[in-house]
Amino acid sequence: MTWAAVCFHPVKVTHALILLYFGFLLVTLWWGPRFIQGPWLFLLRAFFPNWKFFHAVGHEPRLYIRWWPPHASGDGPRIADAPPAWQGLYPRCPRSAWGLVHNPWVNLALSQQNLVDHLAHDLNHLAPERDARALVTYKLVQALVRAHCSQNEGAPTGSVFEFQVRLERCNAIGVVESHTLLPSAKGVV
Amino acid sequence: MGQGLDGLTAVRMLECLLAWSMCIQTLEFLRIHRTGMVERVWYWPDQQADVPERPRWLKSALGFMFQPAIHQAHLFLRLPLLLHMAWQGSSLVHFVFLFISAVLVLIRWRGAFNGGSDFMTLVVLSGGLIAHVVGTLADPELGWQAGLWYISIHAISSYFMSGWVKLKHDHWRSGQALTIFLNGAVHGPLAADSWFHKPRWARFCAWSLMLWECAFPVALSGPVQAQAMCAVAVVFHFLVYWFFGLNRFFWAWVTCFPAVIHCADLKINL
Repeated sequence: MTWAAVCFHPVKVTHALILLYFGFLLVTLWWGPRFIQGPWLFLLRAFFPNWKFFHAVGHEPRLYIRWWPPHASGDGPRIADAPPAWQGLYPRCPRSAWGLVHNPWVNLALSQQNLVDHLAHDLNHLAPERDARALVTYKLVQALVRAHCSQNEGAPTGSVFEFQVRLERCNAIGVVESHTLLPSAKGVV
Repeated sequence: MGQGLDGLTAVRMLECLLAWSMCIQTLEFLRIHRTGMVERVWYWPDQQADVPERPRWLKSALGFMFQPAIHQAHLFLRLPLLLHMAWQGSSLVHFVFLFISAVLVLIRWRGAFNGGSDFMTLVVLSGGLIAHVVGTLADPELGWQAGLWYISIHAISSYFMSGWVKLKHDHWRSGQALTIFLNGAVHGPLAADSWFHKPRWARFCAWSLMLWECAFPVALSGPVQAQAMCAVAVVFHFLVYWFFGLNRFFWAWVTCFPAVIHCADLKINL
């Protein structure tokens, strides 16, 4: 057997590639998320799992919304009225045993919260000269709030809504600190 | 071999569990798509700004694939393929299709729909793909050995990493983190009289979880240890489902267990 045949034997190449991949994973863990940047790497981050679940307690992004119905006369929304109270939009769903094999609404609700987490992350890394409204995550969260207002709140067409992303810190009893990260522009249902 | 799983049984179990897990995911996706919520919120023309302009053909191809009817048709197509894999066993065609499909779904959901369960499903698909590619180029036994090891190392490191990062945080060591996360869970908040409000019970549960996760590599020391660790993991993932609603995590990790139990009974043959 030649040297090349020994070194490039499929067994060796397979093991070398797998070791190389895990070596790369270790490097990404060591240097943290800075190493994994760029749009493709963000979209394909599943190839670089860090397996950190529920690890740190800190400020959690929370979405708050409010909306105004339009005037009966059709003269636009009743913005001049006293503003309605902010309400939290946070996934809370009833539990079911069947959910172990079919749980679409809980998973959808969790992915909606995931979207809010991504918006908060983008806002924290937004350059001062950039407009938050141009962010993809902003547009998606705005669409989420619009869909929630019309579907779940029964807001009629022409209603005006706005949302806030707040960072909240909790202890074992409840929320102990909250500040607004982003007050949104007003949108129309 | 001791009381472990032989290669053939491990591969068949893995194929069946993967098919089951991905059927669950696919049916959930199809149900969610039917509501129109995906098109209203995750509207691709808005979302495609995340995708780099070059190569242009790729962006166009994604735009084509993510048309609602085509995307749903591709999801439908998964179902017969998964059933066929569970019934007849897998081939390179199964894994190439399912791998590309999983990547497409990830991109459609901005990199992840359900976080870790997507990642672990991709790990299993990558392992199967490695097995079939190496099997085609060299020999199938070597291919599955590489694939099962790939899956095992990821599964074991997932528990180890998860435990290790928790151990480094004060809130986890004091048990507070467990109560905070359970309060914020999708089925929460905890009842006022829940045991998890008791600091000593919360600390005990947190330490049990962290130590078990960190000890998971012990599974590789033998098939009995692997089976014991996997049995505890089933209970753990059920509790994660019960409190956090993460049903996909349950099936995604259970799919890896035949690989872990099989590899625990093998000598590494480098």
